Amino acid sequence: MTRAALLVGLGVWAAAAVSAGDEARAQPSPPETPIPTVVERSRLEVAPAGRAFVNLSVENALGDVSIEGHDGTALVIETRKRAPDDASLDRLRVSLVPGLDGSVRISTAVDTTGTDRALSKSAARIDLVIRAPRDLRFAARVGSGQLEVSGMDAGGDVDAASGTITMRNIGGATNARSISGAVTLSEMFGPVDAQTINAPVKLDTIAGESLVTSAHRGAILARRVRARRIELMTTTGDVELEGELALAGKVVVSSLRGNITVRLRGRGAMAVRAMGQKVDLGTTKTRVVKGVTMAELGSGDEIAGIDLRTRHGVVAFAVNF
Amino acid sequence: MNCATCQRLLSAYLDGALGDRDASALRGHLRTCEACRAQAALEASVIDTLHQLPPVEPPPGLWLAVREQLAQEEIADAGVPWHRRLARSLAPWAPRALGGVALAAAALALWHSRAPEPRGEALAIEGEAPRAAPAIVDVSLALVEESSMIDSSYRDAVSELVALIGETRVEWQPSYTEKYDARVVELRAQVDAAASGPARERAWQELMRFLQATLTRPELAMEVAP
Repeated sequence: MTRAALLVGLGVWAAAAVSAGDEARAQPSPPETPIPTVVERSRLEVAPAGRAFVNLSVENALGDVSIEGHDGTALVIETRKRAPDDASLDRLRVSLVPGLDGSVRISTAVDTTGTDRALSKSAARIDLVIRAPRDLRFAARVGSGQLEVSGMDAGGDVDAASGTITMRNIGGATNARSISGAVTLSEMFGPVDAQTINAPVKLDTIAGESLVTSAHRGAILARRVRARRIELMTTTGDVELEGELALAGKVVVSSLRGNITVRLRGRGAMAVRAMGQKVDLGTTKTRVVKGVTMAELGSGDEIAGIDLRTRHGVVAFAVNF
Repeated sequence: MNCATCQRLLSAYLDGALGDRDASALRGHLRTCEACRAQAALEASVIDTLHQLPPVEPPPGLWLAVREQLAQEEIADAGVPWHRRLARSLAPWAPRALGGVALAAAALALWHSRAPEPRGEALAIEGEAPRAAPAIVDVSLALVEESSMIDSSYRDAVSELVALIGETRVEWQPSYTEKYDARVVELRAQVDAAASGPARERAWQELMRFLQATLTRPELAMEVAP
C-alpha cells in the first residue's frame, strides 16, 4: 500500500468517525432527557367541630394560594403537588392545624430529613385552592407564587415576596404587602392598606373608610375610589387617582419623582394645596404662597382637604361637581 | 463526559431530574470546564428568574395556527422529488466530512513530525484546585434564601430612602432633625428586635412608610414643619 493510499484511507476513516460522533450528539435533546413530573392532587373537607372557623392562616412559599369565599361552614382544601419523582413528591408536605379558638393554620414545607438528592425550587411546587366560609378573617403569605383572594367579608392580611397579589370582592379591613409582585385590588369594601417596594399597585372600586397605599418604586393607579381618607405615596412612580370626594374628606397624594394626576367628583367645599414642577388645578382661581399653589373650590361648611405634592413631577387636578 | 453531552443534560440536572450517576459525571465535568460552569450558572439564574415571572396565557388560536403551518409544510414536502430530498438530507454532512479529512491529514502530519510526549493529567490545572460545580440549591435552602432576600430588599429600600432624605435634611430646623433621628432610631430598634418573619416585615414596613412620608411630605410625617 502506497503512502497516498494510506492517507486517503485514514482520511475517510476519520471523516466517518467524526460524522458518527456528531450524529450521536446531534440527537434532539428533549426526547432523550424528558423531565419527569409527578403530580398529586388531593381534596380535603374540614367541617368545624363545635365552634365555627373564625380565622384562616395560610402560608405557602412553594406555589400559588387561592382563597375563595363560600356560604358554607366547612373549609375545602384542594392541593396540587408537583415534583420530578415520587421520592421528591414525598418531601413536599401540607399541614393543617385547627385551633381550639376557631383558627385554622395551613402551611406547606419541604421535608429535609433523609434526602440524598437535591430538589431545585423550580422543580417542586405546591398550589393550594381553599374554599372558606366568607365570614372568617384570613391571613395568607406566598413567596414567588400568585396569591388570589375573592369573595371574603371579614378582611385579612396578605403578603408576597415576588409573587403577585390579586384580591376581588373583599369586605372588612384589608392589608396587602408585596416586595416585587404587583398588587391588584378591586371591589374592596372596607379600609384598605397596600404597600409595595418594587411593584405597581392597581386599585379599582374601593369603597371604605380609608385607602392608604404606598409604593417605593412603582406606580399607583386608583380608579373608582370612594373613601373619607385617601393617602397615596410613591418615591418614583406616577400616581393616578380617580374617584369621589367625601364631605370633609382628606386626600393626600405625594411623590418624590412621580407625576400626580387626580380627577375627583365631589360636593361641598374643598381646599386644594399642590406643589410640583408644574401645577394645573383646573381653575384660574389659584394663589401661590411660598411655592404652594392653593385653591378653594365649591361651597359649604364641611371642607375637604386635598394635598398634592411631587418634588420632581407635575401635578394635574380636575374636579367635577 | 464532553461539553456537548454536558450541555444536553444541563437543564435536566438543574431541574433535579438527572439520575445520580449522570449527575455525578456532569458535576465532575463542571469542576474542570470553565465554559460549561459559566453556562450552568447562567442557566440556573435564568431558571430562577423565569420562575418568578407571572404565567402567560397563550392566545386561544395559537396552537391551531401552529398545526396549520406544520400541515402546509408537510404538504409542500410531499411535492419535492426524491433526489432533492436526498440531497437536502445529505447537505449537513458535507462540511463535516471535509473537516474530518482535513483533521486526519493534520493528525498524520503531526504524527510524522513530532515524537510522542509523556501523557500528563490532562484536566488538572497547575496550582489551582478544581472549583466546585454549581450544585443544585435544594428547595429548603432556596426558601431560606428567599426569606433573607425579603430582609435585604427592605434594607436596600430603607438605605435608599435615608440617602434621599440626607440630601434635604440640611435645610431642616435642628428640632425637626432631632425628632426625625429619634423616630428613625425607634423604628430601627423595632426592626432589630423583631424575629424574622411577619413581625420583622411589619417593622420594616412601618419604617419604610415613615421615611417615604418624610421624604415626600415632611410636615405631615411628624405634624410639624421641617
